[in-house]
Amino acid sequence: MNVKTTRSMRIRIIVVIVALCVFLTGYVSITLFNAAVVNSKEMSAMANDQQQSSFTIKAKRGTIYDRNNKVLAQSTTVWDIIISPGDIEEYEPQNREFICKGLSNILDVKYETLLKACEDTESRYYVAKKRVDRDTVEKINKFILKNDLKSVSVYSVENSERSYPNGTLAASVLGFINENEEGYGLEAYYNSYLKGVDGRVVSTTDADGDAMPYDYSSRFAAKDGNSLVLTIDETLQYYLEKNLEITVSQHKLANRSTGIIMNAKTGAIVAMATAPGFDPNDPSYVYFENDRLTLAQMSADKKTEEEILKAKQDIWGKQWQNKAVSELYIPGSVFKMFTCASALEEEVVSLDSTFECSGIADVAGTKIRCWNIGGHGVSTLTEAMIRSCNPAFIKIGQLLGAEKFSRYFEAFGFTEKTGIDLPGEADSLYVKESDMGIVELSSSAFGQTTKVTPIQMVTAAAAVVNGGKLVTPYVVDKIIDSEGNVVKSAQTVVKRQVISEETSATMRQILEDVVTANGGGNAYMSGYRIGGKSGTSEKIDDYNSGKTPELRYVATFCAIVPIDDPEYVMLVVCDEPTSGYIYGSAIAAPVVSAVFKEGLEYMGIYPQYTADELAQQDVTVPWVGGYNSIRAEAQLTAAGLKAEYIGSTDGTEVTGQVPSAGTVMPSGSTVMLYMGDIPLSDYRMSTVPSVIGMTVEEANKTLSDAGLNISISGAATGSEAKAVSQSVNSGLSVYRGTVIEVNFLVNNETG
Amino acid sequence: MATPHNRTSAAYDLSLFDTSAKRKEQQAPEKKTELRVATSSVAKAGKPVALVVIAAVTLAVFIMFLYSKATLSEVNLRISNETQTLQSVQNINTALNNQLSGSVSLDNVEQYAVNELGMQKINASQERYVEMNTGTMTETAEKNSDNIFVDIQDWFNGILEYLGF
Repeated sequence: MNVKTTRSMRIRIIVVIVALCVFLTGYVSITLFNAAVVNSKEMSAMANDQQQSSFTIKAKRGTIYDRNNKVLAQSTTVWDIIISPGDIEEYEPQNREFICKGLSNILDVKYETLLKACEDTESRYYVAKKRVDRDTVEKINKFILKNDLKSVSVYSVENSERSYPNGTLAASVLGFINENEEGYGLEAYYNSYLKGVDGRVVSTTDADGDAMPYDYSSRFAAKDGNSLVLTIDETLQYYLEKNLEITVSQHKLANRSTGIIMNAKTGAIVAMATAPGFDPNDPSYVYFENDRLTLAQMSADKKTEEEILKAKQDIWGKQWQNKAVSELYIPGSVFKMFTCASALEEEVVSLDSTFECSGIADVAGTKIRCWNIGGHGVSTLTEAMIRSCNPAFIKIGQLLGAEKFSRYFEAFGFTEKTGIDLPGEADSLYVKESDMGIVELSSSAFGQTTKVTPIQMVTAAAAVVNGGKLVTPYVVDKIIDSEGNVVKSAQTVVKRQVISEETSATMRQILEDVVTANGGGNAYMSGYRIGGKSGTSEKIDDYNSGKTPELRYVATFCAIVPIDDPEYVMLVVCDEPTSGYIYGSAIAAPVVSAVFKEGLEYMGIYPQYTADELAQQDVTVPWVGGYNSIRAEAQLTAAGLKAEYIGSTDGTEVTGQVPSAGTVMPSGSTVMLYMGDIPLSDYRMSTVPSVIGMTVEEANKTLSDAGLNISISGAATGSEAKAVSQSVNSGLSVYRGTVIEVNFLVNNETG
Repeated sequence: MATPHNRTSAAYDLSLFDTSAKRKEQQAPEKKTELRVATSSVAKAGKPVALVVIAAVTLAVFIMFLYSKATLSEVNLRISNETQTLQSVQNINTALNNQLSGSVSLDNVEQYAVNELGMQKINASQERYVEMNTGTMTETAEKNSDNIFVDIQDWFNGILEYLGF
């Protein structure tokens, strides 16, 4: 039977199909409407989560360079060593102990710690050690290859670390920063320039979760941080730090030292150091030995962990602080240059003014003594400065008056911050004009009452000698972007004219006289024109409050070179010397001298000797062995030396000389020449006398009388300089003609 | 319909009154005259070939498109890998440079020079200062010439020199 579809059957099929279609369409439409309209936000978010991935491109932190573009601070790549306990368990469980042992040896991490971490087989990411260097990574890679281990078990991941390749150099200036962007120094102050802006890569992921790059990703490049080019000179910084460290050790400073070298005309800081410093690569290590001993003592005394931690935090805070900017000190006699300049500017004194000093001054019933208990007698203004006479400056301060004194005190910048681009600049402490009675005025006039920062002091000193201009000090010369384009550049900012050029010229002459007085103080250098002033202040407030068991001092020296056309001002502050020496001239001035000796030619300042100075230069003893007497004498005379013969000179030759060739000794010294066959046992001997406490002249004569030669070390050669040490102890027997090196020092307030 | 001129004695021709047939005739669509191009046997045989060719070309284009995309992906992947390698090597270079800077810091250099090599800093006795009384100067000797032609030639040479020839 042939069954054909009837019309009604066809209609029914159509209706069912249409109904199905309508239903499906309606369902899809409603679902789409829900997804696209009603729940669009949630759905979009879910889609984004599933289909998109993004990761951050870390911006590279800017570099810090010195003024010669040498790197002082830089971000470098380091590596974290990762262990995957889960993968070890999956692929090579039998090697677990072996891997841990190997890593323990290479990374210097406890074996038990690593083994315990590897027992957590759920984990696939354990940081065995953070921030290792490339050498360690290579060792790890070799260990894996050599022992045929799986690279998924142990691998390295790149990380970034701030590195200071010169260690402690300029640490207090550079500072450091932690992960929360808190820190010290330039790293903190210029953080917004240095850190840059992180970038991002947003890409679509496929079904496996892998990113689909190129057309399906958007890259927002990171903007690397800007770099800083400082005014600091690495070499001068090194010289300053080295010599400060020597002084800290030699004079057992209980409260650190600081030094600043600044361009007198522009305010650019070429060196700024605090010693002992710290290493920003490891800022938590305590560098100051006194502090380490304190902590060790606390542990030995079984103090609680909280107490030790508190002490550590206090020590760290002090260690990281830039003493040149953040700590106050009593300036002492260095301040006299400002009192003198103010008085000259106001014409209340002149170079011809005279002042009386009996050793003590009575100010409204208060006795203020001079450092020279016996008194200086009558002094002119220049002599008062050279002698650092307190009563003279009390008088000068009184002549100036509280109102003018306060006005110049403010004008020299002592009542406000200098504005240097470093964090943590401290405010000074001083007596306001309204509170300044005659006693306060008198003690302020010679620098004993106010408390200022070293940076305020050096900036004001520059104003005294540079024509009277108070400049703003700065450390960053320019800021450059990652392409090397200059983003920001420093300019010399002259705040105001404090004193006139004429007064400044007069002060330059006075300060030069201070250094050259009495034949030369501790900062004197032959061939150079240096001006300066020493200061020794008493920390009376600490003693009165019981902070220190005995009265302690701050020894300072402020130098200017070359004084006729000042280029650099240098200040050295040595806080609480405990070696027995207290004077700024004895402790701080030699630091200045040592830095200048190493650094002046580097700074482009060359000596210009007078004929007298040239004649007094040290010479090197030439070799004259085998010469006859005539030739030997000629050779020695050419070198500026004299000959003394032992043995017959007829037909004989020099067989021995004392001192030997290459020895450095003053011009005009005598060389012993042994003629002919004279055995060593017959060489003439001398007993070394003691010259400690003698002047240069006395020591020279004493040694000369003993048949010995003198070599003078230490800058001071003037009449105030006394011998403080000799290279060969007294009483020893040495060959006649031996050179004895004697160190001279002016150990009072005049040096 | 009978024409008016037909006067034969034909019986009634009913067909003449069959309007439905006439209507059908009227309604029958006019056959359009079509111009048919006589297709040759060759052309008839080429039609599938063209289709094949077109298909082949399309396929080829598609394959080339895919291949170019794949090649682009591959090259981009290589670029990405090389960029990463470059970045990594640059980072290593920076780290090593840092290490080098630390090794040749002024402190290390001085310690090594003094302690290992036994060197010492130059002192004043090793320096000799030479006084220069006169500055370093050169003088061009004046040319004296009596010959006017030489003077003219010199003048002309001077102009040429000025012009850069």
